[in-house]
Amino acid sequence: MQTNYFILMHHELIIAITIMLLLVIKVGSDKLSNQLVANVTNGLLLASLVLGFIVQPEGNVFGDMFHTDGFALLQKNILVAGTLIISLQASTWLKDYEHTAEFYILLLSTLLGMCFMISSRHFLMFYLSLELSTIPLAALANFDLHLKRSSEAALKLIISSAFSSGLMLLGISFLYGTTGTLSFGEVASAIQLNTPLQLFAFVLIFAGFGFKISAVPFHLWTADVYEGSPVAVTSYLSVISKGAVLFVFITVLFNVFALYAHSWYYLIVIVSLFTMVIGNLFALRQTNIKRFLAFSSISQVGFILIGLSGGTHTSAASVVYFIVVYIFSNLGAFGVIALVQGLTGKENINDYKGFYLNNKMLSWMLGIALFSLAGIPPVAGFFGKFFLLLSGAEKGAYWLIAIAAINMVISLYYYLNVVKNIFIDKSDTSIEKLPIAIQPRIAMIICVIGVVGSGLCGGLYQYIFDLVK
Amino acid sequence: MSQTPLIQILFLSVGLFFIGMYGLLTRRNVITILMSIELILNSVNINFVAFNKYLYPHQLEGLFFTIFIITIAAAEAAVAIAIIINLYRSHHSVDVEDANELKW
Amino acid sequence: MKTLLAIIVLLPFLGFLLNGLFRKHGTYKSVARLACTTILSSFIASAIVFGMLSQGTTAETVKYFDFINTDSIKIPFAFQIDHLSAMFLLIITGIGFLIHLYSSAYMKDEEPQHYARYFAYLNLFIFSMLLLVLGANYIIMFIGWEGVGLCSYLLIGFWFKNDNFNYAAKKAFIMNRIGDLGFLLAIFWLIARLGNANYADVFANVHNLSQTDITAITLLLFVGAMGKSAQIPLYTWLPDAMAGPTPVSALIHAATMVTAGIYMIARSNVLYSAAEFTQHIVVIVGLTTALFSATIAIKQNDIKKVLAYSTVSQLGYMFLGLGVGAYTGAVFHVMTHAFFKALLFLGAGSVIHAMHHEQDIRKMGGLKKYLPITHITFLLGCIAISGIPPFSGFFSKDEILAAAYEKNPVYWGLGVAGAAMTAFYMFRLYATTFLGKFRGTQDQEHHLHESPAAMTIPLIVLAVLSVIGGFVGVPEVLGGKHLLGEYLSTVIIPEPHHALAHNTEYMLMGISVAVATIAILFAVSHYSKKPQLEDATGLGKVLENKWYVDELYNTFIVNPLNALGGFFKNIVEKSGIDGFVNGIGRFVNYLSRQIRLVQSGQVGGYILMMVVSVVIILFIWIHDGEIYKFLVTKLF
Repeated sequence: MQTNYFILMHHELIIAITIMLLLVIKVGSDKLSNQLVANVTNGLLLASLVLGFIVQPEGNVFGDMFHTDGFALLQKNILVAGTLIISLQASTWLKDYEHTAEFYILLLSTLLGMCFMISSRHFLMFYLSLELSTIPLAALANFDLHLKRSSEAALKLIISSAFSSGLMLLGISFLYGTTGTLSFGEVASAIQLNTPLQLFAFVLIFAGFGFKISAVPFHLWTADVYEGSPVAVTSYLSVISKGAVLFVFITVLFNVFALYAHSWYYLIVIVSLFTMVIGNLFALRQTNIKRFLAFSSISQVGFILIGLSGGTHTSAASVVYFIVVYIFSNLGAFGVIALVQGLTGKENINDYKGFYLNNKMLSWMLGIALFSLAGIPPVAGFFGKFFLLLSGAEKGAYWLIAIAAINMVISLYYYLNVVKNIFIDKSDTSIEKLPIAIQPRIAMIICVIGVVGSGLCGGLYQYIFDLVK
Repeated sequence: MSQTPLIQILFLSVGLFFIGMYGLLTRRNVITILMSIELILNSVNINFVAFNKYLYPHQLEGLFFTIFIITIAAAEAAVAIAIIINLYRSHHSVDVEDANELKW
Repeated sequence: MKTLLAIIVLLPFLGFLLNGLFRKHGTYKSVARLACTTILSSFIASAIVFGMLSQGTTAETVKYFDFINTDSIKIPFAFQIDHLSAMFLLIITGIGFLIHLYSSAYMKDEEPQHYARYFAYLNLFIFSMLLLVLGANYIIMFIGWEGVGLCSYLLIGFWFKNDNFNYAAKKAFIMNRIGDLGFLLAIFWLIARLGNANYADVFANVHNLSQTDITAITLLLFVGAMGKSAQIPLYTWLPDAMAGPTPVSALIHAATMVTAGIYMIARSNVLYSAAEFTQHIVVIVGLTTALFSATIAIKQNDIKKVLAYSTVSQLGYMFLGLGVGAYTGAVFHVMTHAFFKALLFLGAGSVIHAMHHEQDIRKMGGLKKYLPITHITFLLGCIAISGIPPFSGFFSKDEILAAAYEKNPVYWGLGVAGAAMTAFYMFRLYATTFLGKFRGTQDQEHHLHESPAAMTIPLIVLAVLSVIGGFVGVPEVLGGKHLLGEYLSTVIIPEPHHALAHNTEYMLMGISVAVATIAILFAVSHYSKKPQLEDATGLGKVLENKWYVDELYNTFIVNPLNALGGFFKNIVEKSGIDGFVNGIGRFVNYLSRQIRLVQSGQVGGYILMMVVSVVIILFIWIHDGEIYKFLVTKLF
């Protein structure tokens, strides 16, 4: 039985060991090379990823608070892979950064929290891991220490996230008061229809989740924080942390609040509608590329919520599939932006005019990523959105699909606007040819393969679907 | 010995919650805002403890949750104060309304 | 069999790819060799298939892969090889090869790059045509059908620098598309009713279709056939298609592609036999076309135009045959017509070649002594098409006419009248071109010469085939055996034929032969001495101008459509749709500008927004989400 613990929690254990190791290194020596820290972390993350695909245990520990199975492992693998890509991309920025070890410690702490969160089957476990994945992020957002806006972003993040967890906690406390238990399974069976307090609890918990995945109207913090944070943190926030919370959201919605399915369906539909439309409207007029991607990611969440509204295995699979695709596409875009920002400090969309002239490879990378985000076939984003809309249409809300399609058209406008800036527009001050180090190059290749491959490889969706079952 | 009815304790907790919320929305000093958040969390703590004591006296889940919330709140406050210090360094102020460079 | 069929189909495609992709690197020799070899190999393979089938190998359907595979529809990519398709294979690859050979000399004037392009198109055409006849369901047939349409378009517009040729190409394509719409609808209808479009399944389930369905499907299929096989009212593209190189006219617009409609209906004979109404329509359209275009052909002065209208007219005969149920006769006529019409076109090509691209017969005359081989073969072709025994045209035409007589003597009478006109205009053409004395310029006369062997060999081969090709279908009454009929009997339900008394049949043949002979003699005597050189007047003028059908179409269809298009473009689109679309764009932009202000940069504001939202959600949540349901279901 003792070994069982280690095997069931191998993701979490490796990450925890890495954190410990980094702490020891940091404490032990003042002068340690950033490269070493990064390499150690990347190596261990890779090991965890490989192990995650090989060892696929299933079972419960901690008195059924922690549950793992193939689906959870897949989700953790996705997150670890995404973190690895981000870590590779950040190397340009971290190379001369004084707090590399701390950066990794905090980053991995949040990853650890997310892994626990995915596996949690108890509200206490869930709350702890949620906080573990949020609080270090606020510190991370502040990591451009000398920048005013960085600390402003961190402040906004910590205040609003503390408030949102306050709301969620209130909801959890009401749930406890009415059901007498906090375990997901028992809550699900104890929950009753038409109990005002439980409804209240549900709305509060929903608000907490809505905040984390930045669904309208709980999205306002997103853009400010994204713009202010270092690029690596922004990409982490927009992809990994959002993905992790969405995974848990699936569990909570489909399992714990299964009884309310017929009514949360309508709530989700309306929220997804607002999220798509408002995300798009905001994105249209942005000039800062990070802020622009923040809003575009909000509208992507709207699409994800459409898929979620189906409430079936299909919709769970489509959401997970989309997140995989979304990780590759968004990280592809952020990788280029991180490189440009790290080397030139430029992050306005206008700065990208004539980018293609000197940086062919980076331009294609960004172009492909944006096409995927816009959902243009044959890149993966199209299939991702296609499956989302398909599962959303299962309940017959065809008008919703129509609105989503219109939103895709609107989003096309601003994505292609960036593409136009890169490929067509001319500028006297276009960005010079940028040297690409080996790590970002690897990350970029992974992203391209991911974006193209996950679209063309039809087995992926089927694989996810089988795991969901 | 007569026990205080549950409903009164819940009123207390809700009152605390709204005091916290009021502080959060009206105060401009970041430290005060942080305190308001603590108030909100404490109202939740009261909820948990009360529910545990009155409705489910034979178990401890609520109490445990409370302890963890307190711990997390401490951690949160630590990080928040670190951020506030940093903010003060760059803005020379702890007023939230001064932190409005990022908008639109 | 599976590999063999794949080879037959893929070789021309390979030729297309190689010639098409490396068209800038080939020489005249390599290009021509490649193109001819692939088709010849294909022909040999087809001959083997044909032989295997006549040795008793049963027809079969070979499936390669799933073309469309969904829950409700499964369309396999499969070929069906039976006696009908085997015969068409032979015709297509055989005549295709001869015409490739002929083209290798005829097109020598082109630049190497265009020479290669030409052969690439030609190979692609053969490939598509093979797909068309081999497909085991209507979908595959449709792919080939569109493919040949495309190649026809490309080849008509081969000399793309001439705008008129491009217009002709577009006209052909658009007219074909009109027909294709009918074909497509028929396929959809079939799939909707039966769930798939495989021949085997469709024909086995005919009795499951209601009479209305069958009539509608067959009519729609016939619309497709009308377009491709140039029947009234969709025939006007074919004469214009003569803008393409002459071998193309011979191959595509006489021998093979235009008979695709005949093939389709012969293939669907089970359906058509069950649709009496459609058969009447087919007869009426076929007969009308046969007579109508024959009258036009009488007054045409362009050597290729005469042949084009003659093709339209002969196609009309074939539809007459199909309509009266003589499917074998129609297919038989396809075969003989392929021989002699290809021959005539190639002969015309040889003449045009010799005359340096002069096509007006009024400027020819007396070519007999300059082009001996062309002359002889052309004459044989003319006799064959006129239906003089024992040339091939006689047997096939007779079979159709006999079947028509059985159905209704009036059909027969009109058919014979058409045959007389055919004989008349063909020999008018022959006499004006080859007899009398030369009327061209000195310069042209000086350059007159017989064509090279690559051109005359196909002529000779085709002439031989035109002469003897009919013996595969000698009617019973003449003591022969209908070999073709027997060969096709597995595919086509043998019609209850030859209820006619032998005497009647002798009489019918006698009359048609006599009428044709009189027409020939009249034409030869009339035009060899005194060819008509001046413009015609009266009825002749109407005929010369093709009954003004093109003008009619322009006035009643094209111009109103253009006007409507102009209206939509200038009024509806410019101010309506554009205004609307741009208006939406402006509106979205405006919204975006305004809504941005919510994002004030104040974290307190964000939190307030969250609180307010939670309250709103709770408020409209009362009654267990009924208000949401109302919002979602009623509002949108």
